[in-house]
Amino acid sequence: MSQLRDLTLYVIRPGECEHNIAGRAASWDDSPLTANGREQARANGRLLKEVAGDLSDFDFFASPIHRTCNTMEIVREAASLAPTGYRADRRLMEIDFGDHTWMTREEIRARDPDLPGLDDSGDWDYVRPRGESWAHLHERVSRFLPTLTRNAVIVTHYGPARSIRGHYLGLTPEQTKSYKPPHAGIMRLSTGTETYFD
Amino acid sequence: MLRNITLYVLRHGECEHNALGVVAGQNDSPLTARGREQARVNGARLKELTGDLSAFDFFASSLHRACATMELLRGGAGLSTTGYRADRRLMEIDCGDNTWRRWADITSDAEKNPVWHRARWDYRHPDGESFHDLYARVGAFLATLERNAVIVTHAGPVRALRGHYLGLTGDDVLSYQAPHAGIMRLASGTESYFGD
Repeated sequence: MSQLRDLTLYVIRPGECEHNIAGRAASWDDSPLTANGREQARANGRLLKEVAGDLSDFDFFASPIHRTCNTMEIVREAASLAPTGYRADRRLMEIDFGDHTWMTREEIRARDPDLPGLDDSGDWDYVRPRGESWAHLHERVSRFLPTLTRNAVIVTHYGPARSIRGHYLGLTPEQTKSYKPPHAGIMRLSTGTETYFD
Repeated sequence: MLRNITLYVLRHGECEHNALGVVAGQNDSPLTARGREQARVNGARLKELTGDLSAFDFFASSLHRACATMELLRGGAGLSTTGYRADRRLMEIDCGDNTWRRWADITSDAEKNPVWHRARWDYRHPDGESFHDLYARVGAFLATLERNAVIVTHAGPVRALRGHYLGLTGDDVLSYQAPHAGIMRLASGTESYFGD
């Protein structure tokens, strides 16, 4: 197995979806990419080809939820690759929001007034009702990363994208959670450092 | 009451992992050309069976293969592709550490576990779900239905939906083998199957 820092990873979020516009947490539910989200995916595909050059020694992985696979297929086509040459791995799914799935922030606050902060200020170990904590997410991402044997392009969600960065750069929980990657653009993790392209 | 509503239930079309003979669980693999064609044919069939689909809600598992099938199905039925809701409770059983293994290998391991023989429903995939877990979440999903519905999901949830609807128990739920191609109709307390 390669050391994680010896590998180059390109990490991409799904394009904007209808639930983003509606302000809802889709988590393990899903909603369609908007026209803007599809364009973000195409732009990321062109950008990936431009930045990475030859993608033939890269493996491709996505979360198995529809929006990330859909984004992956658009990214690959825009990078002149066959759309389906990737693996979908469950360990790349978003944090399981459990009973908070499909709620707005206001609805979550109304349901659980004692919630210790919705994302960044919240407790790393806070477990969503019938869902997961950040610690759970970070642990399952840590079981995915050692399966990588080559450089990889990874399309995943807001939580796992930050978790991958945290593992790669050896960050603390607070540093891991405080990062806010946008929908558009590509994070490169290479030789122990990060670069963002958009 | 569940029995007062009509459900059309479909599996996703054939995928690469089906052709490989491995269990995808909550992983995913692309629909094959055959799987895409099955989904389109089912869309045309659904339209022929129901005529007007305006009184139906549409739900899919949020795993990619189910949503991709739903979009082809809706296209085949002459509907806009994205007018559906993707619900996590319709995802395939979480096979945990058995994900991406062959079913024969999974069962030969499971047979060493006394729970498998005593109560198949309670056998839990290592770091995954039991059929009992799946049955409960599919039941929670069904309780949210307000209108007739078209549902695209996986082999496990199809068994659970059918079991809840028909009021079945034990092996009568587990033994059902849902084919990929075709449509199950659950209406006025009975089942019909339309397909090849």
